[in-house]
Amino acid sequence: MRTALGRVRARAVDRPVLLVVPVVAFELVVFAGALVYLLRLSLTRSAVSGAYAAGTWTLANYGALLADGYLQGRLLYSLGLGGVVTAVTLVLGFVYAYAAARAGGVRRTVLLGAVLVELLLSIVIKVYAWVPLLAPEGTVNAVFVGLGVVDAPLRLLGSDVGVVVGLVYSMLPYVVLPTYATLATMDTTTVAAARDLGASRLQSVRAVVVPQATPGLLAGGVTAFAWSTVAFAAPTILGSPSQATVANEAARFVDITYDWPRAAALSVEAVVAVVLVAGCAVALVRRYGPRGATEGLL
Amino acid sequence: MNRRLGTLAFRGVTAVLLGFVLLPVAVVVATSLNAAPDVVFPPDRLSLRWYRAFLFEEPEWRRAFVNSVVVAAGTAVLATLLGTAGAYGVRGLPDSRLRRAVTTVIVLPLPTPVVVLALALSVYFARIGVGSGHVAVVLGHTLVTVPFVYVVVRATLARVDWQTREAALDLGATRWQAFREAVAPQIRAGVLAAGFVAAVLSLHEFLIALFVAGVDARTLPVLEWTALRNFVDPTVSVVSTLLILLAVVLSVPVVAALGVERLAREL
Repeated sequence: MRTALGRVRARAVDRPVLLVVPVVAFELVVFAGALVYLLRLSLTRSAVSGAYAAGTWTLANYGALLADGYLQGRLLYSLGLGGVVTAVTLVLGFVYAYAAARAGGVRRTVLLGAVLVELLLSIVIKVYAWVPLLAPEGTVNAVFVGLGVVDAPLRLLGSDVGVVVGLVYSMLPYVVLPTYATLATMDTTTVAAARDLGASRLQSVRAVVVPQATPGLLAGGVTAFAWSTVAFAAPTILGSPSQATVANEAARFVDITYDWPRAAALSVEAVVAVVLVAGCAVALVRRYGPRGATEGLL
Repeated sequence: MNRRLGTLAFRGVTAVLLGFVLLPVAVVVATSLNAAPDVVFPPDRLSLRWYRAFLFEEPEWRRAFVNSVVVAAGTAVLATLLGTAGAYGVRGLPDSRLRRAVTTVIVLPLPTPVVVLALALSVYFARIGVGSGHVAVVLGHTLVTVPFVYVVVRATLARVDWQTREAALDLGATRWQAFREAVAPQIRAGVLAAGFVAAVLSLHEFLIALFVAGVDARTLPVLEWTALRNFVDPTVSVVSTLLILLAVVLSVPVVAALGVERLAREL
């Protein structure tokens, strides 16, 4: 036992390259294995009894899926939701990251610490915390009605607004952190130079800061889009059935009809759609954006 | 004058955004202390009754708490071992394209939609006999936390002074001794931080646990979800507050080792 352990240790020390084997094997068996199995499942016939008819090959699930107007509508809605959430989060996240990068000392620590604390919340808590805030008699409506901004309480819960607020909130750290990482090394004298040359605050930010932040914004934007398009918790808690995403529909197949092949086909279609849209965005930035903007991506 | 006004406006916007980030945290903590059984913010009267109920009257929540801790500990150990070994080993690869390929393979689960991953893992684990117990949840959580461990440890390794190792070898140390005496002390804090990050992420992971865990392995976020589907329940606020506290406590060594600023740049 002792010598066996010693041999393993000696080999690991002499040939450290071998240390990558366990983690790569793990990714291949668990990650690639699961996704390949999902793909295989989407090509399997559904069974009347039980989840699926093992060993069969068919394209019928994709055919039925593409012909299903309701589900294709849900996919378009999901992509639109992802787009809106990503756009809003990018704007807010950029302002936040820029403020943190410009701030010094305690203010910077507070701004970054708050985002890190938010990163510690599970998605369930993030979404649930907005229920008492957005409810018809909730905090936001009480403040709005009290200030006379609106006459009657707004319908924030069970609507697109609630879902977008919850998702923007959930995605914010994933945009702020990579954007901050790119801005932390920024040369602030270039901003000062632009201001001295007569550029307004907004002009100098747009011309000098945004190009430098593009790698971080792109990485954060891709993450926000990939996750919010197939959001699961926020539409259920903060929305109504008309806010259901493809993820909710896929889970419904699993939970209610046990139709695994159709759930698998819908998942595959959603991933393909997300990858296509995100890939187009990355290609556009690579073509027209500042140089080196896509370096940080895989 | 105009400039000063612009600065003030910018600070105002930043303050609103900071409030946006922190408000939900305040809501969760405040509603857990509410005396009334409904969830409103701000609460009218404060009381610890829901904490008492959670601690002494709810065996289901207690079991979920134990499950969460077991899974988080297992995930921290497995993810730290795999991620640290990978980060150490990848440096030895001769070709930069090969290094990039290995990094891609390890980081790829991160941008993958977690719902899809969760659905896939739940059927796949059932098919290959892993089942739906603690082991299954640990494997799933390891998948989504290894990228973080890998990234943090790689950043730590990039700052190691390798000449101390060369010096140890020149002085006649074996390679193992050189690693233990020269390299290990320099990376210990980073590896520990990575392990804590993995534990915290696992404590709060929801979708994989929801789809993969059977009834006996349900973690706290899953039970919170189940409770929320039925009715709004102050116990959810209590559990969430305790989870936040637990995560903050677990983060103390990480923050002590890395500092808030460096942590923000490397996660």
